[in-house]
Amino acid sequence: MDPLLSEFDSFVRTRTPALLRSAYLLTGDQHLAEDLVQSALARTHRSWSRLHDSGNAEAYTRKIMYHLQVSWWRRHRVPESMPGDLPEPRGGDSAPDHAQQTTLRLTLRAALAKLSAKQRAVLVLRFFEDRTEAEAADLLGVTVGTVKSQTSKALAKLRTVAPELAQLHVTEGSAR
Amino acid sequence: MNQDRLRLDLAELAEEVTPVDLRDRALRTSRRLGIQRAVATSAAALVVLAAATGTAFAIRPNGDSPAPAPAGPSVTSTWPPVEVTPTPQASREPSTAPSGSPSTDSGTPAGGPTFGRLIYGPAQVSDSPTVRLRSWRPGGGQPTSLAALPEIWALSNASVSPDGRRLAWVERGFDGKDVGKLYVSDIDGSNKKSMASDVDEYCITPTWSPDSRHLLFGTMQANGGYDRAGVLDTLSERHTVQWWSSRPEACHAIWSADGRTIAMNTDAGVALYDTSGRKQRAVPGLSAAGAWQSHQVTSLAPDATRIALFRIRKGMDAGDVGRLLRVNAVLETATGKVVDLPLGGRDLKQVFFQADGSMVVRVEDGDGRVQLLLVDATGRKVAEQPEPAALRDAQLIAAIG
Repeated sequence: MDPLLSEFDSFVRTRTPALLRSAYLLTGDQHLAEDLVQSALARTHRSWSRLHDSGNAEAYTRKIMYHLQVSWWRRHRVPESMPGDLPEPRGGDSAPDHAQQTTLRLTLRAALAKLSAKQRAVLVLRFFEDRTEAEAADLLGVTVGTVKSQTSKALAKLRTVAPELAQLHVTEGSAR
Repeated sequence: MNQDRLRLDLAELAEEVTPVDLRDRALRTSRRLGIQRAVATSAAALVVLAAATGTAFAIRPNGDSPAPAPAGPSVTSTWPPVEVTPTPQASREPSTAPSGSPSTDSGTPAGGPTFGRLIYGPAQVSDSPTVRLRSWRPGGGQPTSLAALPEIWALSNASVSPDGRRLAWVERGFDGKDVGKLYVSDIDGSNKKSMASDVDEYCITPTWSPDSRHLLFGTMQANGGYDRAGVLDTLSERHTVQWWSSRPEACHAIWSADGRTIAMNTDAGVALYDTSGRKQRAVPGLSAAGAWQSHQVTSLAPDATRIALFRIRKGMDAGDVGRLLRVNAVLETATGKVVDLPLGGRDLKQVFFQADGSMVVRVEDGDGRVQLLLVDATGRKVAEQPEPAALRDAQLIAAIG
């Protein structure tokens, strides 16, 4: 087998699970996540001869993925694939049990679907991938100020659409 | 839930996704894009193919009713119609653009069609934030540099005026501040002017009229939906626009050199419109239900009787709304019949009609050598020139002549 293709295969099989997790948070749907990662990987393959020994292949793929996602949503208005109706909030114990955890996760899932693509992207970058504001700005091709404002708007929107997530907050100045 | 809790819940939510092996699908998409041989592809990182999973991404605009006019500088709805210049003659003069300087030696027989000046843009995404468009005339030495544009917009929507003197393109930032601005500049990038805001950067992208004065363009609503389409007078003091009465559910406009017809991709097909946006007819043989589809048109014959496009069989990846200038067929617009081209067994890469009806046909042989064929209106090859290696990773975006 072509050594470059072999390297690409290895990259795809090693990194796809992680890429899919981010893509799933970005899209909220298994098939859309697969589409997104597949498309980003195809472009990575296209540039593989340049990327393979650069150590930047995953960063490149992720950057493509985020740009694609923001673009897809804006251009095609892909119908929300996540459930639009939030699950009924559960009352009860202060320490959530498993069922309550599940409900909260579903609530978060549905609430994320209410955000714009950009707002989701900044949340995923900041709180799932643990990127700094500067890194998130670079990946999305926006300013740090935009990352800050979109993060703030995203969190505010989550609080609005899912009051049961009311404790959700980011302490002012805590951002890296 | 605090910041750490959000992290935990996102991580937990992400685990819902089922791992799958995307290797083969990625390679199929890669091949579809022509990646392995750096074939020209659709625009930018923002442009991608819909997956082979059957997940449908509609290529056509939504059918939302037109919204209020976008905020554009001095945009009105009261300007005179597009001035149609019937059957303009191809300029045989080199452009006066500062860096055009094409050679007059085009390797073509006297009296017949000749290669015009060709404008190249990037064919694929790179790490460069900006790229220079380039100009070259077959048989005329090395390419010369033109305007530097942001790569993504050079790929997605940069449009060269038929006289080769001006550029139009749309830039849209991700930060929400630069809301789809339409710019026009001289071909070398000088004299850049903003013409309108809230402009569509992927679907109805700026398309020059044959008189190199007017621009067909589309607009976007604030929520990302498609809005209106209209024709802008770039030389008017107030940048006046004649808005079409409704925006067709179509993308990728190309304007015939006789000024009478605009061709656009509809849902998996191609339709011809008049310059007011009224649909005249569809090109037969291309439809969502039929055996063949097209989502990307590239060039239209001067009298709109032929069209160069990329067509796919039903069930193949449809691609998305981004611009693809790759061509794999030239069709008769009245019948849908394929026009035979003298490719000599080589792969067809691109076709651009010139104003005299001849075609510049870009082909690649099995060793990766790219040649440009000049094919007259009867389908006969009248000249052939090798393309410089410097243009290996570029693609044609216009043929001036």
